[in-house]
Amino acid sequence: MADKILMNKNTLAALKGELKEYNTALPVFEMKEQQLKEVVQGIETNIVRLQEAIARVNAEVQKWVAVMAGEGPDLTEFLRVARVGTESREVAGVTIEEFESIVYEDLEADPFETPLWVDAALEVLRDQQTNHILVELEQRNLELLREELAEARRMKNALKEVFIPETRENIRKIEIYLGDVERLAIGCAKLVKKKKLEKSSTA
Amino acid sequence: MIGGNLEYTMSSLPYLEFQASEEARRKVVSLMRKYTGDPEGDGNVISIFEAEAGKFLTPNQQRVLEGIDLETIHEPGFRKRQNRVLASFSAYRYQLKLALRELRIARRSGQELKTGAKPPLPLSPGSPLEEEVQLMRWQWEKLEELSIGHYTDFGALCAYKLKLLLLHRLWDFDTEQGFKKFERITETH
Repeated sequence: MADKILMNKNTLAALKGELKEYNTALPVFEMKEQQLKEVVQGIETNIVRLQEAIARVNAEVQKWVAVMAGEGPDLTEFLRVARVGTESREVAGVTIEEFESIVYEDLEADPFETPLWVDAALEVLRDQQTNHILVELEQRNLELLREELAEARRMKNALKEVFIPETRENIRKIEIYLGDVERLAIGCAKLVKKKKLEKSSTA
Repeated sequence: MIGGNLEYTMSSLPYLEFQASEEARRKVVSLMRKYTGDPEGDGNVISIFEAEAGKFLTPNQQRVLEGIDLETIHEPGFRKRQNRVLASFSAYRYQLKLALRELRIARRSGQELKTGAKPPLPLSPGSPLEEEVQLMRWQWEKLEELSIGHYTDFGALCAYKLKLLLLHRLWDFDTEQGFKKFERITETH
């Protein structure tokens, strides 16, 4: 926009066209920003809620987690995730993944060979692992949405603060210039006409 | 070093109580280490005990003593032993494990709460740690019961080692270490 503009009717028409497009695009970006902001806020709240749940479980397990110290069965083999089911959802042009289910490999601790505490521990471990997986999923979604939100904000601000005002100013300048040119042309024409009339009357 | 015979060894071993306190642990550990002549050493109490007791045992008895492990004590090899303490405790552990299996199956299917039938074990429901300590206390009491009449024989040594193993596990219960493990497991998937 800092380029020198041609002060003619074609440029004026082109700039008016551009301004119309900008005015159409601005509410779209404003709406997109609003929509993304709402979803981002929702996900941020969800992450806080999940992190609170993780902290709650961590505090709760303090009462018994000592039993997991020292030698014991390797519990990781019972916590192998077979599949995390998600559903893709489009939000203002961004595809995010929504959690649906988590499926663990079908392995149960042997009730004869493993200690009794393993059952209760596995239940809590699975819940907590799911919380962590959910946080990671939501953080990935948040990253994508924040990127898109920043882009929508940049576009909205560019239109609002730069493109629209500059185009309006350029249109105003061209209109003033063309008005001046027109008035000058009328003045010249009048002058020529007056000179012709004077010439014909003296002749 | 422990000198003399098995009677002397048994009487010089630290008295064991089913206590998880740091003080109780320190008392047993320091006494055991004193026997090695290295009170500041980091030797495992069980290895120290085996080494000291081994001096008065036949190679076969030594092999049996060293083979005693809480994880395998329920196996038929132990249940068939002539040593009454070992065989009885092995059978007790086996029955306990069977009852625990039944209890766990009932819990998993939710039957424990539904039927109101007599539970396979008179276990007071509690946190996993509380339940584990209850089970260990039962085993401790069983060993106390089996030890009656066995003070200076091989059966006494076996009971002592089993008690030491139970205590070793009890002293292993550490919230900080356990939580580290818990966090490591939940954060990796």
